[in-house]
Amino acid sequence: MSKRYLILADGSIFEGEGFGSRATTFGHIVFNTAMTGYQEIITNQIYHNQIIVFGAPTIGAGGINHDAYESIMPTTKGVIVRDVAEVSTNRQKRMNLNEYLDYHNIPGIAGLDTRALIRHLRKTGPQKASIVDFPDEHAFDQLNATVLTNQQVAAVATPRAYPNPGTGSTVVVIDFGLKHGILRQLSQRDADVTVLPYKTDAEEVLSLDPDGVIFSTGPGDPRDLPASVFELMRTLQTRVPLLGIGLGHEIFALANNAELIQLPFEHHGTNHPVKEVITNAVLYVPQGAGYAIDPATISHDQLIVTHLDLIDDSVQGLRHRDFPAFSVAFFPDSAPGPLEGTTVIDEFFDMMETKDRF
Amino acid sequence: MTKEIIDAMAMQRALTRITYEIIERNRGINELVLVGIKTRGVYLAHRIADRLQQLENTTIPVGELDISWYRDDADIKDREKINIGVDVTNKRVVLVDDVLYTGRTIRAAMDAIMDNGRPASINLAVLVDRGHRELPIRADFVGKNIPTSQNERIRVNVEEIDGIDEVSIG
Amino acid sequence: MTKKELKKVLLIGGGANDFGRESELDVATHQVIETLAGLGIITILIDDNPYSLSLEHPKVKAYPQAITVANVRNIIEIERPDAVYPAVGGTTAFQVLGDLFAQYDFPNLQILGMSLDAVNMVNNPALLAKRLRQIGEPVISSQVVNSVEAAFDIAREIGFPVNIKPMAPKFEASRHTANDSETLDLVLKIALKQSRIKQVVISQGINGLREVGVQVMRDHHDVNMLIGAVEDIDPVGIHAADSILVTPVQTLTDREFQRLRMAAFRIMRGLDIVGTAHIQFALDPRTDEYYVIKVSPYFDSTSTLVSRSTGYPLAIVAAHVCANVNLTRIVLPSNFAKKMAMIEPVMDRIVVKFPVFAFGEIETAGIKVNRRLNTMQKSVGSTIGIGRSIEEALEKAIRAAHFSNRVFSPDLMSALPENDLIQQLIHPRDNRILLLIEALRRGYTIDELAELTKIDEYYFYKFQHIMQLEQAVKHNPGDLALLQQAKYYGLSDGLIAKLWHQDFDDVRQLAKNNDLQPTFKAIEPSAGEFPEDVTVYYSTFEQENESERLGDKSVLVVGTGAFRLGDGASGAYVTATILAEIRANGFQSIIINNNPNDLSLMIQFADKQYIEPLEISDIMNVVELEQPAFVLVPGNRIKLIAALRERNVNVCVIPKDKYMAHGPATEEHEFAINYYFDGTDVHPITITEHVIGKLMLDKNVYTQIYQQKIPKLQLRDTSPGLYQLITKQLPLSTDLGDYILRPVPFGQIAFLNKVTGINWVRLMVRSILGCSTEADKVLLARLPDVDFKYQVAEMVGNDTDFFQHLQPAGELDSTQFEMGVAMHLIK
Repeated sequence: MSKRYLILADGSIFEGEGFGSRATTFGHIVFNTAMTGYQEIITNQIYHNQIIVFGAPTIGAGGINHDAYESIMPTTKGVIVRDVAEVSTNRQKRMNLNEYLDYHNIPGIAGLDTRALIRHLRKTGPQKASIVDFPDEHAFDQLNATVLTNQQVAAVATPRAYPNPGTGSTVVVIDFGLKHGILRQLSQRDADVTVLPYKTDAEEVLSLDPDGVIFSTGPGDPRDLPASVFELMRTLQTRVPLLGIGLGHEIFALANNAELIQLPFEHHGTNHPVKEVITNAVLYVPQGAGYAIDPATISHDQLIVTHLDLIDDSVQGLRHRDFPAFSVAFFPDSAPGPLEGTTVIDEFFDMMETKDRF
Repeated sequence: MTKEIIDAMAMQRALTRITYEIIERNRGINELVLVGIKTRGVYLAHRIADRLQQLENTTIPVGELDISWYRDDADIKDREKINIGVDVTNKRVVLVDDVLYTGRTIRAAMDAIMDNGRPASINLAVLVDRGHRELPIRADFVGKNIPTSQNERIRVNVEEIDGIDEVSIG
Repeated sequence: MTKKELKKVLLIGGGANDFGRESELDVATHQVIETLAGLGIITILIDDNPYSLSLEHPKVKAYPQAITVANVRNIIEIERPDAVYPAVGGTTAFQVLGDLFAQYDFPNLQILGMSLDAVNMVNNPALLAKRLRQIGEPVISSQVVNSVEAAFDIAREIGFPVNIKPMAPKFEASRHTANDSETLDLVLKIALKQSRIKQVVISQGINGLREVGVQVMRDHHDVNMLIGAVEDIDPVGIHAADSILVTPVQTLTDREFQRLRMAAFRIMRGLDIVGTAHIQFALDPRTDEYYVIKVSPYFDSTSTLVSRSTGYPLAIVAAHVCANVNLTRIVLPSNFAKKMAMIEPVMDRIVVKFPVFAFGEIETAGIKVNRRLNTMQKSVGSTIGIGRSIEEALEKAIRAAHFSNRVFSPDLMSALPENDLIQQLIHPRDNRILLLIEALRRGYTIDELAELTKIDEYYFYKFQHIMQLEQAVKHNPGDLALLQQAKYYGLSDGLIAKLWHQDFDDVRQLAKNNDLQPTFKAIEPSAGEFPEDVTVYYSTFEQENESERLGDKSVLVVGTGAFRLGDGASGAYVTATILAEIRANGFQSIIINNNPNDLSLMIQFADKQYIEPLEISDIMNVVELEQPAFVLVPGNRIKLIAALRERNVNVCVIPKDKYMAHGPATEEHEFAINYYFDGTDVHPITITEHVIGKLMLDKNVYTQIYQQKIPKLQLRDTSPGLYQLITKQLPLSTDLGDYILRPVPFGQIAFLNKVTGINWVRLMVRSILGCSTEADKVLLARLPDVDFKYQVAEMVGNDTDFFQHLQPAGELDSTQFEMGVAMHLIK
């Protein structure tokens, strides 16, 4: 291990010990306060081009497990943590975290005052950051000159269709960089799944005669997506039961004339209470979003607000007034995170079961 | 042997979905009236009304209907007009019951509503549709379709009077 | 029962301290009283523990009586409360409440937080197991049998290992484990003999599984939240109180963890518990199966540990939800973030809880005890270490548990024969951490050790790191990079100095000169996500320091640390009272302590809390930052007092002896003349009489008879406070040479406070700070002719079952080795 540095666009420097890959990387910096599920978080494609700061003091104790991937090729740009566990690799754990990050060319910094960093980020807000060997002027010049791509979905979503066969309901998943957790939830319910690229047109989707369609999670700002995506949403929502998750939720909202705002404080974690408006029930759910729907722009004639974050009051769920279509900003696949949000998936299946009535 | 087929969570989910479907079907909740069929239908109707209140911040009137004297197998002369407690004229009425079986209860309920006024429309919401219809009646909103034998007994429990939310068969 | 408005609530206390009962119930009770008062609800408390601070809470109506069915019933008749709240009284309150409702009917009395059914399930494991099975939660299969043959039938069915426990035992008996037929034969013989009704419970053995406890909260609207989770480093088979505990959970995958979370919620729902509960699981990492091993819907040491570790105000929130306030509507005291009550706490620190055993003290008294750890609790107290890594937290916890690092010297085990080492690896004792590190040093592989001990390999990597770091430091005296590493991972100045054969001041100075300074971090429940006005800190060696000096008028109080045998809980009582009085006199109070169950760490009593070990270097770190006007140190810390004075710290000593004194022998009487010393004059208070296991006070008898003959005591060069002269002779001699002079033990001070109705601790603090009032002077001048609140009272040692816990080879002196006491206020 050797000294490495995290530098922020605002000029701050944090020092620690490098682990994982030795690469120099650039990305947006975010912090996640979840205490379990580091592997799921690191492999979640919403963290494409992001450097993740873990609030949990130590990660890596469980190594890397075959059943905890949220994607095969993680595209996060760095892992910052106070302490990374060293564990042996044996039959169950084929790799430890250090080896895994090295293999995927992701640098990490341990031994860094992550609490000070998170408190700093709380004050300064979202910004660019870089993991470097020397925090010199050159490094900052590089950081300032770096323009991070806004074509993030294109970088992580599947370019071609693939099936995930089952014997139950037929579900089409439009992939924007989906979490495997969504597929796992569908498999548990025996769904017959086809994953389609996000540039698919409505006819192609409908030709598969789906019982329901899911617009998946994914990275970035939905306003950078092609107009066809919103058109696809507007067509499909009138034809089949539909669920939008994460980025899919934002697409659903935008397609129905709502607007997006950047959150002043991004919340990445699993500990905020979210209220289901219709029942007043409270769920704790995994969240990770930089944007939210501006409640002032939600047309009451089109959409119903179904879920609210009780801490920052952000809109966490929407439903179409006229069609069986709904969406949640959080991750109902609960990978990682509390399991109570998975009822959203159940609701989607209930909806598909009764869709014949429409 | 009784077997639970809908647990508390699933029952909540079903009522939530029915509520959303009522909004979808009616393009809103203007002129909406819920009429629960005694005994358990009334509690279910109130739960749907509570949900609508949460979502739309509007109080939907809930009527109650005891059709035990209204069945077509009762003597027609005994029929008296039953007060259901809400005005149904020109309203969009949603009848709520726990189980849909032969359809005779629903028919009686429709008669009772008609005796009370002239609604714009009547829809039917049931938690369980168990089949074996004897009349041309179908539900517009169904919690769950449960195919049953005529010998089987479907029991719907609601927390308000049974202490637990559950549908069991046996 | 319909829920009506709550106006009056009866709190059933927990009674005397004992194994597994420190001050955690008092900590919770105090906050519950305050919270309910804030909601306009009147509280009544029954408890007979003289060390209870809650009994002195100004907002409670106290019944200082034994917690019995008759007394509780009587209070219900008099007070007619709307509800009774047993969660603040632990198992004692549950037993009494269960018995009470079995005998009497109270149609208008609700039980806060649960139904009578749930109370009965807590009291009867068989009922609980039945209910858990009904709701689909796996429990360990067990059956009651009355013969060896029947037991073997079961054993054949469920397979070895099996646990055997006598039913209705003649005394509280521990569980026996049998791994084979021979052992089963033997333990059945013992257990059947121990049972009054000749029946035993045979159950599936789960020794070796991983033990995880979760603390959950649920409100009346079925909102469930997870407050924290604790992992035992030791496997099932060692009592949780004797285990080394870690929070947050380290070795569970997210999936394993979330499964337990949901199971805990289902249990809360299935038992319809409102408020908080601690639910323990045994987890088999190989098969992914789990078992529910215990459900505790009351405050216990885990609930306080979780509350301290997360910074989440558990008792305050529990009291709110039990009083029908929704989690989403709770308004917390202003120092918490606005909506904190409903945010699941997250942590950016590691907390290790380390058990404290009293084997050393007992063996010093010449009595052999069984040091082997098993399912029966042997520890008498605990400490926590908080850090930013396992290594740091563990090092700090060990240091906190042992005032001196000598007992935990890394070389201590080097002479242990190989056979003993293996024996102790399989049958762990109190010193197992050292043993495990020694085994690593001798070249045992981590896989081997993990298999042998059932401890997760993750921890062995951490132990190995500590060992390697110690070795590296040892072989490189003065190496700055290593010093930095050592500090970063929690090695103390004292330990480094020892490894380098240097004075610890030199190590400190070297660190200081190279800018290796401790940084203090706040303990708050959001891991930095929300800015919170927090007063609790721990030290680490990182970039940012969050603790700022309070000001010129601060007073630092050094706490009494872990409970040990002796008047442990009274230390908590006295320290908390001192802190409160310091504040009352316009000073700001600061506490440094490390016992998670200690009253003094409640944020209500001090302006600032440092959860730190209590070695000189830890205290100096705080002293240098805070520069307090005074530092108050208990008198038993002789070396510490000297060391602080050497460094020109303004120390005031709280009179306390180094060791608990022996009590009188059987049949012997001892008399204590108790005095208050205000710094100038000595004022007699009263005489107490001590026999084995009991202390008696009868004001009239003693005062009238002996008043004229009380020896005139003069004190100089010592702190204000309470002192006593001890004699075995009557009539009293006037010659001071016939007496032993000593500070009044804290336990007796607590008792005197309750009996006299005068708070001597507060008086002492005012004397120390030079803040005595006119009223104080008037009172002292009138002594001993002042009216006491009670004229006749006793303090009786708790009937602690030492045999059960420690298997000592001789009688334990219940004064010197007190676990807890009860008071009887007779007149």
